[in-house]
Amino acid sequence: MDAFTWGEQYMTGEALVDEEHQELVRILNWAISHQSQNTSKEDTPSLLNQLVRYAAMHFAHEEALMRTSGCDPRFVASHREIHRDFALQVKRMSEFPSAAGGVDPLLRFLTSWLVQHILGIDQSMARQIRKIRQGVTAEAAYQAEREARIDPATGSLIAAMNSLYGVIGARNDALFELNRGLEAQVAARTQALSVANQRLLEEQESLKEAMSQLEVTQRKLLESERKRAEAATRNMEQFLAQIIDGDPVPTFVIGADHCITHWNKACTLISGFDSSTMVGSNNHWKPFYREARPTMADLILNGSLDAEFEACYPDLFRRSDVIPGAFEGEAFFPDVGSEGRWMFFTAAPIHDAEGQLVGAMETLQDVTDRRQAQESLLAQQNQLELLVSRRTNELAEANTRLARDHAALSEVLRKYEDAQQQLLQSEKLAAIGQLAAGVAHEINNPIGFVNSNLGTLKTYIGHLLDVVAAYEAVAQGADVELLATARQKADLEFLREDLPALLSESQDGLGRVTKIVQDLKDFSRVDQSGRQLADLNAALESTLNVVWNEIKYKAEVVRELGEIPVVDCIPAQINQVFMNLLVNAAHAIEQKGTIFVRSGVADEGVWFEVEDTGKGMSDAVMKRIFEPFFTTKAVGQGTGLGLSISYDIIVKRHGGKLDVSSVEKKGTRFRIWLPKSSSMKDEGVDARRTG
Amino acid sequence: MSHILILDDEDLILKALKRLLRVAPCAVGNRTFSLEVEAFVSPLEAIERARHEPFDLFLSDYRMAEMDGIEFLKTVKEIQPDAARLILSGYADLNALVRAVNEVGIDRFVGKPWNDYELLSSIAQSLAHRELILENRQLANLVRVDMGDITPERLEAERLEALEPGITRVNWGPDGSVLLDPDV
Repeated sequence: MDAFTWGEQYMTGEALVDEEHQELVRILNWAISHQSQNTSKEDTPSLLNQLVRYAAMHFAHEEALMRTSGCDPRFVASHREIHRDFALQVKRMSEFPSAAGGVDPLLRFLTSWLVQHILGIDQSMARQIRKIRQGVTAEAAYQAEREARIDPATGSLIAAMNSLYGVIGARNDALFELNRGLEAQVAARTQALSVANQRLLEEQESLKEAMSQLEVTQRKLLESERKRAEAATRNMEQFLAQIIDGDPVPTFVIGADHCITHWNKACTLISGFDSSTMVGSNNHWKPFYREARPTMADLILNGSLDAEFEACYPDLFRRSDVIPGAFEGEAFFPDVGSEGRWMFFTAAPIHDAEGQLVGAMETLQDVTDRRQAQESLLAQQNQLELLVSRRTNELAEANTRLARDHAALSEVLRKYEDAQQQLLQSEKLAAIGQLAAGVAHEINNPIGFVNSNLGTLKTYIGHLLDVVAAYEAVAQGADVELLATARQKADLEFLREDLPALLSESQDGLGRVTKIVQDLKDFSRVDQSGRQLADLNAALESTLNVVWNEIKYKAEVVRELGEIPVVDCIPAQINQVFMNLLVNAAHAIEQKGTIFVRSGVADEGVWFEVEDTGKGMSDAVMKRIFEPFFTTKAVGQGTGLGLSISYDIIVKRHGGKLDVSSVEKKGTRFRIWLPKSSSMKDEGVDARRTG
Repeated sequence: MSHILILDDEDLILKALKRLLRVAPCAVGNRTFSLEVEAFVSPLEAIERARHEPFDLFLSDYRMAEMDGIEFLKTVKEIQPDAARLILSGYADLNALVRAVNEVGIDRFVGKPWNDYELLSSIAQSLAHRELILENRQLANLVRVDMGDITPERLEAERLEALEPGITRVNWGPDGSVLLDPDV
């Protein structure tokens, strides 16, 4: 089947043109069918060349025809341009590598181009030539062609194909340019690469030179290194030998062959064998034993230490704590010296850099002196122990005796304390006795008038009831006279005034009784006899209340109490002291006077003062007032214990101070100081009771 | 009407006593005394009053601030020797009691707290006894006048003195003038 089937529509009417057209078509068809049979690539260029030559010839003929026919020059120019363009395109396309698709696209291009060329331009040319032959001017024919309407289908097709060719043409141009650019780039690259290659080769050469030089240098270095190492080793060996030799501890070293490599000066001295005889030999047993036997160093080197342990050095040595694989021990060598010596020896393995056992070293020390000293010390120690045990026995006996004495003393102390307690009690009773008198008065007075008031009240009530009865009687119809009599008897006016007064006075009186009882309770603190924190200003006030009746006839009390903190004390005892001082002050005043009570804070504690304007005392009396049973009062007037017990309470039981100052005929002042918190142990019965 | 002076440093006791003496009958036997009471808290004031007003009976507390009861009654005895003297006290001290009876001449000692009836009858008995003594003295004086032992002027002077204590005493100045100022 032909690709390009010739048809009537292709006939232009110009014989030459049509002939050549038909030839072109024939070539094309042959090429296409040839191509599709997969011919080799060598055929393709010749094929194309043939085609191109023929096409060029045909174009020339066409152009000659147009000229001779006198076609419009414009048309001729454009037609020729088309031909040239086509030729250029084909040339370009043929230069492309026949990679993808081979020449197949080219052939197709040619086919379709030819179709549209023939149908279009060539037909137009033919028509113009016909017209010119008929007498139409070239311009008119050309103009007519320009305006002529071809049938729309063919026209549009041709137009489409034209545009396509235009596109293809543009593309071809672009590709051509691209190709040219690429080739230029490739050329440039190749140039650059070759330059670089050249440079690399040069560098390689220079490197080779350098390498060879390096090798030379390296060899020299190795050589010098070796020499240095040898020198260093020699130095090290000398250094080591000096160390060993200079060490005051006798040391010898044996090598892997059990021959002596080092025998230091100290070893020479102790053994009597010089290093020149010993080094290189294996006679290191000689100084120590009569016959040859392995030393510790030998055993370590053998590695048989554990095995021969029991045989050679029974019970004598142990592993070193410091060096792994080393041993130390102490033994008596009877063959050394005149009488044999005690030696302390250590032995350690020597390893090389790889960890192989290459030798052993042994040190010896003469410890005979130390040993002897040790033994004498032990003997002394035994003696001392004997002494100590004897003394301990003696001490134990003494101790038992002491314990017995202590028990006896404790007994006595307890009795004493009991006696003291009894004394305190009796003093308290005496004080209470004194109190009772004053308190009795303070209770009796209110009770007295309350009692009397009640009696009076009874009478009043009686009168009132009579009046009521009279009213009732009159209400019942009795004589009004009765009322007047009863009223007059009762004296209602006076009653109205007096009754309320009577009742309130009686209540006041009983209130006073209650208060004095409360004060007594506070004073004696029966419910709390243990040590506690107490407000001593309040305690002083309540003591004053209780003692007031004793004091009020003699003295005016002036209070100058300061702000004081609570104090750790036994309040009942402190109250007792206050009472003693206040009563003494009252007794010191003969007619009338003043008692001052003051308090304040000082030196981590509180102080109280009781000062009176009484008769004072002389220095002689003042020295003795705190003595038990000392009194300036008449017999039966006082126990003489008040101040001594007060002193005991303040100083011994509370760790405080009690001072006195006095001027005869002017007055006396007592000053108490108590620490805020007492560190005194309370040894009184009170504490034991609260326990 | 009997004039009584009561003295105690406790005001409420005085009030209670006044009530009692006003409302309760003070009688002994078939003799009833109606009482007019003056009460004092301060012994000094009471003594001052005693100088100006005649009293039939003095009733005093024992323990007082300014002055002892004994002292007071002793003073009062000098001013008005014919009055009855009673002590009313809660203070039970034997020594004091002995002193009171012996030094001062106390007619009755009543303890506190007192029994109302006992107090009233003590007062009544003291008053009755006083009346008896006075009447006795008067009668004796009359007999003495009759017997010529005592002049009627003297008797009159004594009577005036009893009425108005101190009236018969005259302050003579050094130049013979009469000094009326009692403080001189």
